Amino acid sequence: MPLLAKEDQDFIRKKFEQELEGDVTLVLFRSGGSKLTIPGRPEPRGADYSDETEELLHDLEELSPKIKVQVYSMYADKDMAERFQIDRTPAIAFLSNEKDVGIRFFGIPSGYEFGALLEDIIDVSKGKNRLAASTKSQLAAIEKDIVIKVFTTPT
Amino acid sequence: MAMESPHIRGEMYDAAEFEDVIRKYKIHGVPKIVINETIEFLGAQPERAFLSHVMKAAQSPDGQK
Repeated sequence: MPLLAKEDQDFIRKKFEQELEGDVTLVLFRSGGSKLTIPGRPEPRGADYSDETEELLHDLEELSPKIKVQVYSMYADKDMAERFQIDRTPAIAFLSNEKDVGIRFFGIPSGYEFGALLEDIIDVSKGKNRLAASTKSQLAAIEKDIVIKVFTTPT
Repeated sequence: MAMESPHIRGEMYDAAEFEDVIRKYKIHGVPKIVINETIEFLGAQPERAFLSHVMKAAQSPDGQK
């Protein structure tokens, strides 16, 4: 059963139809696939929100042909996790034209963060955002690596 | 901002899921923003104010990545 209610699906589908331009790939790193898994025994479920996040991303994938979802295990697909500097699950990275955009979501994007996820999908798809031109020119001049962490709680 | 520079990464955390994060960054309110582990502030900021924090991090010599 989809996590999104029917009316939410309809609203998002329409928004995506109107606003999406280029393809956006959402790369999910999830739990599971650990070497510690005992053969023949199912993985412990519910240790984090990887299952729910995967379902949510697949729901979004259904709503637009421009959204692609790739799923990796942080443990089994170590090279990918290292490449994207993922150290916890669930985590989502954004690709545009196969290029890492530099956006990460850690934890399930619910509440306020779900809105932020949709906005980011649209911005990345359009290849533009709402920052002022003066802000963009200052950011473009930065030569040092910057990591901006934003901590929220679902409300 | 991450979209505007290959040097900038923007990370959103659902703090409620990660206890280590709450402890490490002493999160008592949200949204809390931490830039390069050194500059931190609480609450949404106007774009100019946010940018000035980022530029300060970009110009500080001791930055980790």
